Amino acid sequence: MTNSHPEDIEIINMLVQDGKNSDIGFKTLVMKYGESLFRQIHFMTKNKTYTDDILQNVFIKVYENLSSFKQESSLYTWLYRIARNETLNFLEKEKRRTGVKVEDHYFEIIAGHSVLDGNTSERISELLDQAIESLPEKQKLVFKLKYLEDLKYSEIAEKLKMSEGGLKANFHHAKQKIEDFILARLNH
Amino acid sequence: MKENNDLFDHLKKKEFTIPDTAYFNSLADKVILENQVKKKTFVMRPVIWITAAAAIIILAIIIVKPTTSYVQPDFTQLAFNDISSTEAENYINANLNDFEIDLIEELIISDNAIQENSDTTKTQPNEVKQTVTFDNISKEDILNYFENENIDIEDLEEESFI
Repeated sequence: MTNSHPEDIEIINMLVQDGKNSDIGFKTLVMKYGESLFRQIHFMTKNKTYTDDILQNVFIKVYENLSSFKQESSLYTWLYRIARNETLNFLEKEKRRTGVKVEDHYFEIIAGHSVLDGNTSERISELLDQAIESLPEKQKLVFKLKYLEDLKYSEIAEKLKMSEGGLKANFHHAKQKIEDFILARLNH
Repeated sequence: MKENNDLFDHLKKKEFTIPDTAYFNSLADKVILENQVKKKTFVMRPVIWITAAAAIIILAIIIVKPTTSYVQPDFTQLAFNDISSTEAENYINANLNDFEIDLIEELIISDNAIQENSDTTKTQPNEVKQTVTFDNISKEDILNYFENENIDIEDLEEESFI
């Protein structure tokens, strides 16, 4: 059984063909999901140059391995996993190569929170990264699409082939777990 | 005033520029091009391997050939060269009874033939040996010769024949 959107099925069908159709299919795929993957990778790397390199590698892998995509999950979920693994591998290699961890931050703190006040943005960003990584796969994906990409529930539902009700529940649980994770570490 | 304790209300995402459509278009082109290059390399790989294998085989043939055409030394000959003539004589004397007389004779004859053969090859072909015989010369011819040469027969008898 396929979990892919009809438009995605059309893209996949074009991609598995040879020649021009394959190229058109691939371009459609990049135009449809490129921005979303760019945001996701940039959130993890916090670096534009790294993001460019990783995104290119992700699409190369997608092009090469599309035949192994079983359509058991949505196309976006499959792309998201590839992008996440590619980014983690890249950051790990970069850390080994330079000995320095990417320390840029993604958030700024707005004063007025009893626990957050007095902490640096870098520290909060680091904890947020850890908290997101600790989430179950589905919650992690929903949180990123809703919170980091500001997508509407209807858009996420279409991408992930999930019901809006299910998405809301997933997002609520994810948010709660992240808050608990961060506060627990800041309070101790 | 009641404090807002929702953590996410106190976190503001940093804005960053999302690339435009041209960026993603160019990215797609780059990946397609890279894939084509990879495919070409993949197709060319067997050709490269076959060429390399052929080159290795040719090299191997060139390297191995001189050793195969190498003439093995005659070990029998080498072994005889190491034996001194005294040792050979002693051996023959001790085992003389084992030698067949006919074979020895045959060997001597053939050795002589070889010797003669090699001697004749040394002489020039136009150099013919002439043996002098007096059978065809008459007594008168001899006397005439002595007379012409002013040789006195009596002197000859005294110096040479007596």
